[in-house]
Amino acid sequence: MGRIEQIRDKFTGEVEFLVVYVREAHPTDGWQVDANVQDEVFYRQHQSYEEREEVAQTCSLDLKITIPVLVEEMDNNIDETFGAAPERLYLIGSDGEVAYHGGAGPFFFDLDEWEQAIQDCVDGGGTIKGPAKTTAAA
Amino acid sequence: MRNGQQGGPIANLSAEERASFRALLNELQSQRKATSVQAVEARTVLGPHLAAATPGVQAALLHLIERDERGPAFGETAPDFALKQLGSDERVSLSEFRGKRPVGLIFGSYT
Repeated sequence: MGRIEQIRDKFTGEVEFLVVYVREAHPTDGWQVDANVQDEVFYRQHQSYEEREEVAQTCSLDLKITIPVLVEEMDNNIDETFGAAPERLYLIGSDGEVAYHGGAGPFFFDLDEWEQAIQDCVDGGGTIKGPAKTTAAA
Repeated sequence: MRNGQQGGPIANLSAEERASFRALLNELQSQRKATSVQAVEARTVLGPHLAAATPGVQAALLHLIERDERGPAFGETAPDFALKQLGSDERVSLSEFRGKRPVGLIFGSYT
């Protein structure tokens, strides 16, 4: 989380930051990955909202997260709506419009790109307006 | 990786297919790095490679493109939500910042 908090510090007072805690990407009862075995991070998929809150709390303490953490409901509705799991970054402009729609994590979870979008948004007075899409060179 | 099924179509690729899939991902990543703000869409970069790909790689690419396109796109109004904040009984909604400040959202989990 260190890098995320650095970005938060850089834009304190100009941008709000929220973590949305969603379902476990690699629970012990699902797709276990080596990285978690190494770090000894073992959690099963949450069976209740209380359990999700507990794991979110542990995560937030272990990783010393100082950004407000919101805990997703058990229906995973917001997670689905935002195509979020396992991880994803967004920036919502002060007009309520999506100013940055990050790529699907973990491959395209890109903090540098996000930071640049935040900078552009702040420079633009809180919003980013088109050109809507950057088209890749063919 | 205990359960291959949960890895989606990528888990079913042969070593050779995996290498070709990885090369395409790298291409997409470098194109994304090369542009400024908005993420280059996976479909724009990977779409042209679909026809020549093996069925396995094709399935993995389509899966990735589909995942990449999920959620509200740039310029769309973000769907509102109100969720309980950890360590408090208060709910925080996205819309309460509207007209005030931009909001950076980080979706994720511990694992």
